[in-house]
Formats: sequence, structure tokens, C-alpha cells
Amino acid sequence: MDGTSMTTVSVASGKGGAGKTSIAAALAVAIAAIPGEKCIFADCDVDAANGAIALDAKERERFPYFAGPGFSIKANACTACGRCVQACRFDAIRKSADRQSYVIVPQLCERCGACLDTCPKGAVTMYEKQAGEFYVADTARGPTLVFAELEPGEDTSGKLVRVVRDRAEQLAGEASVIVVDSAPGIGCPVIASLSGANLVIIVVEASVSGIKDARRLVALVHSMKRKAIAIMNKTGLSADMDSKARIMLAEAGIPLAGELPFDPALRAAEESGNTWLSIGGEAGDQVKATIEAVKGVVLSMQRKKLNVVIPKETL
Amino acid sequence: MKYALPTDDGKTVGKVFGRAKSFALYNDADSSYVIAANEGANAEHGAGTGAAAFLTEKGVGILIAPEVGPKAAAALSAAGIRVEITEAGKALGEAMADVIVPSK
Repeated sequence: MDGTSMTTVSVASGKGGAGKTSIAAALAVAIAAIPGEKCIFADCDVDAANGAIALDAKERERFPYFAGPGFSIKANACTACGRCVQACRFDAIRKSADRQSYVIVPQLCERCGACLDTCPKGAVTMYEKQAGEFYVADTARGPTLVFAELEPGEDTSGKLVRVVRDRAEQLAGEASVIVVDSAPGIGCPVIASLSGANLVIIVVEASVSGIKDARRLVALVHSMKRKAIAIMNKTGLSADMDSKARIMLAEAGIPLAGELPFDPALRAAEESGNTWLSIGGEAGDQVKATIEAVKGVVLSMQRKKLNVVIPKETL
Repeated sequence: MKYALPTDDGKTVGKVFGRAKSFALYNDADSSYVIAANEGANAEHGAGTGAAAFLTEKGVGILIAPEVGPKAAAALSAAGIRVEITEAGKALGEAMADVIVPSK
């Protein structure tokens, strides 16, 4: 499968805690509820994979994930010369219990391979190191979920994001929508989450750091020439911040799909195991209207697939 | 001039650059055309810059791709490789024809 036949929507924010996963989950649930639509939720925020909680998931299959080679030292070949210790920039090599050789502490090893290069005795060997597992899960709320878990000390990477997205694409049929929940920041895993996406949803937290981080994400999205729309979150706390967020988006030419007010009911919905779509009141109306707007854009892209003109009257 | 296009299936333009499974390489000087595996497709980090280095070694002058990441773009620019934007899913020959101007 080349991945070009389905529609991929990536939800990102720059700042962590801006509401990416909650918004991505609500969108995925709304799309999956449409008769005839299939939605896969690819949780690519692997350091804090919480799509399984948001969607009430039940594991269906699991697979091992190999990040890259691990390194170990053969005790009988090691003469404890200490050159690898000097070469290791991460202080990951320690004396063995009998003090006759050195051992590599896997949790500290960054797998750079400097020990392998410097060992004069060839005592350092490589092995396939399992860094974690990834899962396919059915959820109580509709979308199929793909997510991963890493061993302690392993970090997320573009490779892992690609593994999760590849699995999601294998599960997705021709006309399906894949919702990618991106990691925070603008680094390697985020770039891998945005690459090839038909639409990026930029979640802007209406705060100083939220706006600043969203601006960096906007620059990344522009450099990757991705189409984007924005959702503002936690509005109503400061009129000044709300207005600054709107101005930032307007200057960047990113259409605003909606503004979600700060409301403890949103958090309460999650604590009781529901998505944001379940709440009532003003915030509930805003969530529904915003998700409806985004859903409309996604479905029209799915129909046209290319060169979608996004209505800008929301600006 | 040598041209490169990312491809996953060997027939159409892939949607990603750094983690594309392979690159179609076309040289209009001798009309040679090969599909070369992208060994950096499974790199943990730095897939984009790795792919840029690979194309530089191959002497590519123009990359035809739907997008490149920011660091890959910087590396390609430093290597003097021009990037022409195309659409993912387009037939490789078609995407090349859009860019290659036949010499008189």
C-alpha cells in the first residue's frame, strides 16, 4: 500500500498539554461514527501514548519493535583496558561485579557504537535490541487504534512513528481516514508525524508558551508545505492571549476552525472515560461545532483528495 | 543532469522523502534509469539528512518530491540540489516529464 489513497490528518501543537490527544480522539470518534467511514487512530506521541485511555482500547495484536542495534561486551574477550569507558560519552559502561571486565548498562546506552569502534580486542558485539512493542487495538468508541510502548530509557523516534503509521496504513482501506496524534515539539518524531499528511490540525493553547510553540510548528508546517487548519484551546482565560493567538494564526494564513473555552467539564469528561464530544453547555457546543467543521474539511479532502480549498471566512 | 524521485512501489511518487523505500534515479545524459534502495529508510533519526547525503553521493542535481523536511531541505540546498515539488501518487514518468525540459 502506498499510503496515497487514504486521507491522513495529523494533530500537532508544538507545546505539550495543549489538547492534541483529546481533540484527535474526538475527531476520530466523530469520523468513525459516520456510516461507511473507517477511521484509524495512529498514536504517534509514543513518549506519552494515551490514545488507549482516551478511546477505551482493548488490545487485539502486539508486535515487537526493534529500534537499532544494542551493544554488549563479551566478558571472556574483555581485558578491562578501559578504552571503551573513555570513548563512551554517556557513562554507560561500568566494571563488572568481579571487576575483571566491563559491562554496558542498557538503560544508559545511547547506542552510538563508539565502544565497538575503540575496543582493540573485538569484545564488543552488536545484537538486535527490542526497544518496545507496538499494538493494534479495538476501541469502545469506534476507531481502530495503533500505538506503541517503549522500554524505560528508550526514546521515541521518527522510525517508531513510521512503524506506527505503516501499520495504520496497512489496516486502513482505500477510503479510510487516519488520524495521527503527533508528539509535542518540532523534532524528528513530529516531522515523521507530519510528513505526507494531507492536513495538519494545529492545536494552539491560548497562553504565552502555547502561542510561541505553535508559531514554531507553523514554521515547520510551512516549510513542509502541508495544508493546515487551527483549533484554539483553553480560550476565555485571557482576552489578550486569545487575541494574540488569533493574530498569530491570521498572519500565518492558517484558517481557524474553532475556539474551545477552558472548562473543567472537559477534564471531567475524560476522567469519566468519555471524549469531549460528550459534554453539554457552551463548551460542549463549541467542541461539537469545531469538530464538525474539521470533519467537513477532512471529508471534502477525502472526496477531492487533492488541491482542496479551505474556506477562509472563519478568519 | 541527474534527477531523483522518492518512491515506495517503484512506479509512483512516494509521499515521504527521507523514509522513502527507494529512489528512482534518472540521468538524462545517458538515459540511464535505476531504482536504488534507500538504506536510510529505517534510520532512527536523521532519515532526511541521510537521504540528502545519499543523493549527493549519487551526483543528483534535481530532486522531484512532494515535500522535504527542514533539515533535509538545508542539506539539499548546501549540496546544490534543487527541489521541484510534485504530487504523491503521480506516475514517476509523469512527474519527471513535468520537470525535465527536453534539450533542443
